[in-house]
Amino acid sequence: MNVKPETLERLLIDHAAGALEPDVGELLDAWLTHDPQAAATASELRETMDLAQQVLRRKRPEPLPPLQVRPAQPRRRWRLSRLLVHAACAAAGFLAALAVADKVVVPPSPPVRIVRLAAEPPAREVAAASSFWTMENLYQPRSHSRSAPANRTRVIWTSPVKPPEIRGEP
Amino acid sequence: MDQRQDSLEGLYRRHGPAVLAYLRARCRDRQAADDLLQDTFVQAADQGEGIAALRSPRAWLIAVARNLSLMLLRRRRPVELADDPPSRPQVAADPRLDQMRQAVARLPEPFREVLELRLREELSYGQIAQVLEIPVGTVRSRLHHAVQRLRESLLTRRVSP
Repeated sequence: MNVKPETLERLLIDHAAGALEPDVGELLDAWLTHDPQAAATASELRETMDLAQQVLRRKRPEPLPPLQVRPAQPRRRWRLSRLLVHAACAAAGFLAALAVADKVVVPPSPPVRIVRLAAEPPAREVAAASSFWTMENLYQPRSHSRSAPANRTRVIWTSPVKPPEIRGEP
Repeated sequence: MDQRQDSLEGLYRRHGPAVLAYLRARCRDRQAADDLLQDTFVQAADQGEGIAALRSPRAWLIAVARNLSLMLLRRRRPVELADDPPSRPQVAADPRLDQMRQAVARLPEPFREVLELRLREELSYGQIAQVLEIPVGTVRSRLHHAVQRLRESLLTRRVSP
């Protein structure tokens, strides 16, 4: 006898469980006719499986409740339709925005009057900036009054399509 | 749409009884079993045509039903699921059946589950492996352990007075 007892027992359990291929089962049955000890073990295993099957077997078929499930839409079509809905919403929103924009009446703005003050010398600005955080300035508040420029010019710009007009002030 | 509904209903008629029996064996609450059956087929409906291409739709459905029942077990009180086979006293014509019933009840859960899937649901080793998400070798090993224990239990009872 070449087969190991453990291997033979595994085969016998698979056989009792009905998990062997038919041709393998036939070979095993033929083997058992020549091995009385293995045949006795096989008989015990079959009896065990039969009893377990009787214990576990369903008593009677249960009545099946009605199916309450509907098949899902195919995912691809669902995505496409959702995309179309989004596109339609975006288009509707864009059209609505255009319609509202056409109806908005912007009142004509009065002519812009730009007054350019005569520039002070840049050197003085830089000096003022550099000397701002001095003890002197901290304790002696600066006068905010500015001296009036010597001469003033006015820029009058009445329309964006016309160049601004510069006029001098006396 | 009608074709898919027919396909789903065909699947339900073919495999619904087995899935329902499996769930009723696992759940003590019949209503919960019925709800889980519907939930199982909701997942099948979500699969669309893919489920028809499976090699074993029944194994797939039982795997889904098992996972859903485990989720229910985690959400609800453990007593609502039948971790143990029903232990109501039954008058058996064969006293060995009582012995076997007790022996099955004493099996560790992993062994008993494989035994039930093989003998009650009549799934192959490969299908059981799919349901439990374990290797086929583990299925075989667990079944062998289960059968060995049952056999030893019967032999012990025979020997003892």
